[in-house]
Amino acid sequence: MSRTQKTVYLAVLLSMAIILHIFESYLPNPFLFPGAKLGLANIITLVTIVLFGVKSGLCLAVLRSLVGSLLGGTFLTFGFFLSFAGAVMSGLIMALLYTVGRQRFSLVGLSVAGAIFHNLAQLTVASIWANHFGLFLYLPYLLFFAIPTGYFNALVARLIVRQLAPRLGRDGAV
Amino acid sequence: MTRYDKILIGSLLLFGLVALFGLRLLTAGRQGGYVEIRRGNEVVERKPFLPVGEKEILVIEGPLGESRVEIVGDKVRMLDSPCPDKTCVRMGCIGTPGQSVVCIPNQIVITVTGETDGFDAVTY
Repeated sequence: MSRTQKTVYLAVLLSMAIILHIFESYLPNPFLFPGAKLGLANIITLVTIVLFGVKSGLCLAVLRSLVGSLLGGTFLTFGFFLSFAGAVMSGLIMALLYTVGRQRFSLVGLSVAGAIFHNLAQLTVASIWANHFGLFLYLPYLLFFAIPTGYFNALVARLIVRQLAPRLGRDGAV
Repeated sequence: MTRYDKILIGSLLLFGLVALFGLRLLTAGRQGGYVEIRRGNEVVERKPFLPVGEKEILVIEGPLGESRVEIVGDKVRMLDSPCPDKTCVRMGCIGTPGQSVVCIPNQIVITVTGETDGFDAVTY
């Protein structure tokens, strides 16, 4: 794959992630539970980590959070810090599990772990912001939403990877 | 899904359930949260409520003398105060977060605070 091809693919993936990020912020919370969300943009982070490597995936996570919040008008608000910390943390943990636990975890494991670390990062930021660490009492409840949404996101990511991998000359079995 | 995925998800579910039931046990019967006693602007005492049936008397020194505050289970009241009018004593027992008993002459305020340090809700 040439440099140009890679740049184009990453640019398209990034724009998809940004669109999903903004689209999701327009949706009312489907769980009636603050903090629990679908995390659609994480699908793209996952796809990018698997297809283009850890560095590209992390860049994508950071950039989509920055650009998404700039376009959505939430840059430097409380919500931005939550989503930024969540995106970076879940990107890091997915990258870690992908490189260290290679072949051991499938997309499902990566995605669920990413979802949970997203929640952990959010709770940490919210606790520091509110100066009250009792917010972590909320974690077990968030966990029960993170597992099914993480699973769902992994299924979507698998569909995308299966379609994209052959075009990139990669093995699509993940 | 690989075997490791299942181990990961299983252990997370287990952790969630244990944490949930653990929290239920820890917070059972403590809806009111804390009793906070102030003298002027300074918090002099901050205590959790007691199990139902137990009593504790706290003595707070104010400008007029000693006020005695009694925590009875999940309620709190001003038992005795050196003030002339005894309005604070007549206010009786309180137990719901946000309620307070005030003794202006002796500058003592008893407030019931919730578990969450004064935040009603956090939204974003």
